[in-house]
Amino acid sequence: MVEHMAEYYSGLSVDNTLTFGVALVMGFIAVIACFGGILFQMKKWGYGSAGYGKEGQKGSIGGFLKLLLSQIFDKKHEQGVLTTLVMDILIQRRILKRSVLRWVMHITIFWGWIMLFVFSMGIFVVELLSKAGIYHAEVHPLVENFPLIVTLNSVFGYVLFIGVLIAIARRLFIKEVREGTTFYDLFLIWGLFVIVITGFISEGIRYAGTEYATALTDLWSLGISNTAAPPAALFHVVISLLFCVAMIPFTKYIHIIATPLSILAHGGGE
Amino acid sequence: MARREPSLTTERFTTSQLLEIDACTRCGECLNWCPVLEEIEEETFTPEGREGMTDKQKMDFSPKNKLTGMREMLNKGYGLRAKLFGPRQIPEDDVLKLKDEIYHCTTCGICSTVCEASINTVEIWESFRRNAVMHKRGPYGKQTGFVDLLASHNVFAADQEDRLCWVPEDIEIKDKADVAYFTGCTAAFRMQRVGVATTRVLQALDIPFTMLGPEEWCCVSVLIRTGQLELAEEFVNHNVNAMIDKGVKTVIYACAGCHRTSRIDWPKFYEGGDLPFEILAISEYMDRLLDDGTLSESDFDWKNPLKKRVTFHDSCHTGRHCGVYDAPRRIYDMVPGAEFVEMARTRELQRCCGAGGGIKAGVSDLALKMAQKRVQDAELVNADIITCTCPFCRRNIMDGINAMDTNIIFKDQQEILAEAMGLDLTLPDNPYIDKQM
Repeated sequence: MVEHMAEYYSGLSVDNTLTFGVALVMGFIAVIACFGGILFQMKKWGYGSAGYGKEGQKGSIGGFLKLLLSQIFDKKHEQGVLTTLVMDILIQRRILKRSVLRWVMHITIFWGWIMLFVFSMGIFVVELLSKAGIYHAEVHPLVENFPLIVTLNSVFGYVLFIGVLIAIARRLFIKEVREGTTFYDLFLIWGLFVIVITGFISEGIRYAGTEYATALTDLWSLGISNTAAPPAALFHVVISLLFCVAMIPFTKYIHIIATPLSILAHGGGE
Repeated sequence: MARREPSLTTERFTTSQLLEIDACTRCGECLNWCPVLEEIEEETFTPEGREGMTDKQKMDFSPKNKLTGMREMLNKGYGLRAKLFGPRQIPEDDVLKLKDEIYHCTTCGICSTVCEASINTVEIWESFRRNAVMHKRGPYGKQTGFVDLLASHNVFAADQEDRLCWVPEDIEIKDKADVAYFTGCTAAFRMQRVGVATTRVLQALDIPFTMLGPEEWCCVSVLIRTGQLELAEEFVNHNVNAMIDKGVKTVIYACAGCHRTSRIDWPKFYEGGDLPFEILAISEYMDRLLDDGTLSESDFDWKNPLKKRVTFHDSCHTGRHCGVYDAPRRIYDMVPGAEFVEMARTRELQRCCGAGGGIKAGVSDLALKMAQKRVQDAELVNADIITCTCPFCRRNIMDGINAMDTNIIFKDQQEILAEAMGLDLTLPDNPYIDKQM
């Protein structure tokens, strides 16, 4: 049983099998789709004019960026760009000022998503190094060599989970929110829900029957043997890449990019 | 074969506005504050042709759903599918429906204030309205009359030569001065008492000032708010150049609508870009003079203590749009005998009175309901007087008062000052005496 976990980090493969290769290809496709989509969106925004009353710019990405940057660094803003970045984007005080519940929901989703993204990229890099023969560990490499990352990965997984549950609960129990919800909103929330659930399940399956299993991971494993760990991890990775990367420019995930830019362009502030 | 044009084009939107439309997180905060939506949800007002709306349909009048509607329509014209297969046509009725929803807005800007994404909604609504006018979908209702009225250079189709007919003979208007008082159409022709009070106060405080007289053309607020920009550039350039000819360094306003338009909108149209003079609300100007010692409280020479409970309605234009909150309050604090009390919603979270954004002309019954709601706010704090720095708010709130059983009265800030200073507010005989509001 344990040998299935012996030489991989992401949970995707043993001995360079198909799953890691599939994930690698999917990763490239997702990144290309994401960057291509962002360029496409910038082109769409670039159909606007460079200023009030001026002619449209026929989809000029350069024109869009030029106006955006001039607005972001406009000296008329009451606070600096760094303050806006920290207070209004990373801490999200504009949301906090209006609703504590909504702030808890959003800040947990925001930081949960970001940290899981960062850790996933880190683990991916370690795995690449391992496959290239630059880095190698005999025992379960992730748990043994990166215990802090493993712990934080779980913690931020639950942080994200809490945020998603609040988002779902708001739509279930608050009439105005429920009635105002559309597929545009649901795609994002349920996408995150599926990602976080499959993440926990794939981790549970991976540890099932091993010395690393806990009551919680056993619960999430749904009783599935860890021989199913690679396909479970692959499923989680593929949908994560689709929802959290490839679909960003084409769904409500676009607000990950557009909202901070809007806040920066207007100089933030309470 | 020629490619079809998108049903909703990006014309008049800036690149940043198109980004902002995608930045809406649909958090729904704006629903808690939009004063128009409040009236529609409470069914004190029903938009024309929308009788029997469900709760969900009412939400189409929320800022959130307006942005969503725009995003969906723009994506049908400029999204990935549109690029591959051509723009998807949207039934004209759907575009007109969205247009009507966007014209049911006073452009008060509270949705922007509370927006978690910092979206400048007011300017987006105005860009959409301009786009609608360009495509002959807008404006709305009686707003269409503004352009014709402005052939006379003021919104009342009055004789421009009468611009100063209300000024008392003993008021000295300098030919040239550092300071100019921009009266605005309403104070010049329909609320001359505000103009008289302002000029009396300025003279009593020994502040030399000039006025443009017949050369003062409408500030074009009504055109900009409703998307009818044909005359805007000509009017703005005329006014700015007239100020330059007078050697003006600071232009002061007792009209919030003119103040906002001059401060925020004129630089967009003025051929020279940034204005070569400063734009200040009169309370801001007095606040500055008090700060730098040019004026002191004793200069006001109070004669008549007010002995009334006064509450101040922050106009959307001078308040939320220009961020002037403390200066007008400083003036009221000085008035002897005035017991100043704040309403529950003030400053940046103030409740709009309903006059702006072309609503007073286009959807007057909505404006009236909103005004009544604001008067009720004043009643809740047992105010005797509701006051403001905007003749247009004054007109609408007075309509609200007249439609209610209430003892509250309205007084403009300059009227309160002038009365407390014992200044004569008698209007000189003029052709517009009978038309005063």
